[in-house]
Amino acid sequence: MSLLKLDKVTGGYSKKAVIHNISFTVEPGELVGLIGLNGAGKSTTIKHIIGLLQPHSGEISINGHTISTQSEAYRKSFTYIPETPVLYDDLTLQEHLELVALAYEIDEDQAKQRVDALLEEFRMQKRLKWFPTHFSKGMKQKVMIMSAFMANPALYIIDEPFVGLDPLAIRALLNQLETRKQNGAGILMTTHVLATAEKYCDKLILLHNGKIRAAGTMEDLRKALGMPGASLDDLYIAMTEEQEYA
Amino acid sequence: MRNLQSLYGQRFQSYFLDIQKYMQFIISGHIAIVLLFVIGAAGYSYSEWLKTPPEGFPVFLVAASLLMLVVVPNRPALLLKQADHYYLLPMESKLLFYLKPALRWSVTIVVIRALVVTVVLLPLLTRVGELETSMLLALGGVVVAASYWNVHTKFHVLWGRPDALLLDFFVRALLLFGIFYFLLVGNLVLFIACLGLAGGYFLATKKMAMTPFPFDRMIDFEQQRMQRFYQFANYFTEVPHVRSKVSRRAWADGILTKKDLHSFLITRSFIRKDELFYMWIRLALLVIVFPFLSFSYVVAGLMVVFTFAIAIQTYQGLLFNQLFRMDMLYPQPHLTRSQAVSRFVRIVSYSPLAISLLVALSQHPPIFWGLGALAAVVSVEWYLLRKKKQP
Repeated sequence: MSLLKLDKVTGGYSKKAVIHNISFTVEPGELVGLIGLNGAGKSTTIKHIIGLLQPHSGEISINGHTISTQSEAYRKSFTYIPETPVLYDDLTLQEHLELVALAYEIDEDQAKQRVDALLEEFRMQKRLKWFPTHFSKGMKQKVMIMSAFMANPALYIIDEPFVGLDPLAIRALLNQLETRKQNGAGILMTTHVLATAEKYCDKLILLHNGKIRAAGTMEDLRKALGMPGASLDDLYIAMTEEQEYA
Repeated sequence: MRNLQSLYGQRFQSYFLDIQKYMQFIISGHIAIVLLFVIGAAGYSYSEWLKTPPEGFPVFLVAASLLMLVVVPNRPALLLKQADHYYLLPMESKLLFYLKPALRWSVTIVVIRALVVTVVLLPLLTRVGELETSMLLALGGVVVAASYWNVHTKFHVLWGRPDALLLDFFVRALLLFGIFYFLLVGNLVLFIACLGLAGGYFLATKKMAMTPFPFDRMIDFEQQRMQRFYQFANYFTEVPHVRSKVSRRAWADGILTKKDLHSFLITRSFIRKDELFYMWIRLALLVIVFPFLSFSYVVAGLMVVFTFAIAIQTYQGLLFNQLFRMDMLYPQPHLTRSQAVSRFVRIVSYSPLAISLLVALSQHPPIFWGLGALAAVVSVEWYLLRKKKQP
């Protein structure tokens, strides 16, 4: 059974569909990159997966659960890191992490263990009592990342994770992703940093105008676009040009 | 290209509509009822007091102090926006076309406020201070000139010497007091001396403002000014663009629950968001203090009105207006957020009512406080039921 499965999903913000007939899977231990131009439908796809939007048609399941039938089990199976940090103005960093522990029913000892490790990795030990208003954009993003990893779910959904992060934090994030993947977690990540996507993703999905243009490993994409030896940058540009002149 | 003067005009129009929109909530709010009583009582007491004023009352000292206090705290309403740093920067040399109407409007507002106070002071100045009409006309003229001077000087200092804002405040306060006081007591020499000093200070500050226009700082000041209004309006209704000020209040950590997801968020929001917390303190104190009034039916009525006000404002303040919050994605327990908010609203609405009832027990006949309490509970429960039915 796939960890995340999208089956012919069509949907959008209103009656007008933004994404059309999207199907793909994320398997345990797999990092999947969702790549596309601004407005290609990446964030819309993610919003459907996390349950903020309801598909017009098609089905989304995580670990075999759908949000309409087993909402709690569905939500427990993933965490989400949004592109723009969404924090509570009235909670300290420590309380954000406590809230995640409460929501995902993590026992106190385990929570402390995970918090200590994450704080050290993201160099945030001295900020525990701080409110978000005192954080920089990068620090806010680190809080989102730590909150997501704190829950240790089966699936991570990550939207543009590198924006605003310093090089050390990017390295820490990539280390975490690698470790989680080795432990069997699945990751769906959108990014415009194509070199990183090419290097770290096991599978790539090229989204254009709300449709999947090509999907699979780098080799699969090269074959699909008829560009042997091409980098992801080349494939990406070729895909957009091909669509423009089509 | 649209000129800068009309840009300010358009901004002023939308600013005015914004103010008007929120003033409707402020005027129809619970504070307005209290203010109405207070102003009425103060007006009546003032007119009674004027009939037999105490011997040797320092009328000019009081009048000069009041006028100074009305004029000095005002700052220019520049209506600058964040993006101006980028879009208006290339037009810096023509910025005067934008700033002129901005300063003109700011002066007008101060003049209106100061003249209202002057009119209120007129009976005091004529009956107790025995001022003649010519002097009153002169005072009116000086109030207008002082308002102009105050706004422009403050603007110069904001522009050129932001590090000296406190000193500038005291200098302006002192000079304004001197101008009003020496005019009223008829000491023309010291009055002219104060005018001379004010003129010199005006020119000195104008020289400070010869540097390039500090967009960042001015935009910051303007946002602080607007935030103050929005935060005030937020006491009466939900203001979307207000960022509620958060205070740690570590002393309350002991009562911040970690029982469940919603209670965790609700208790912290309530205790730490200044608007919400102070609103509750203010209304709860009123509910508790009212039973000390002697009219039983008024006490019963106010008990209902203010308990209901606590319920409405707490409910609105706790149901965040954000489109997306992370807790929307968390595995939800059986209790929904609105259920948790309703439970909390009952706690914060009924606890001051209970104390109020204890006080009322010793002060009023049981029929009044019994009916008052019953009506208060029914009104709160009706409101919560209505909210529950809403999608």
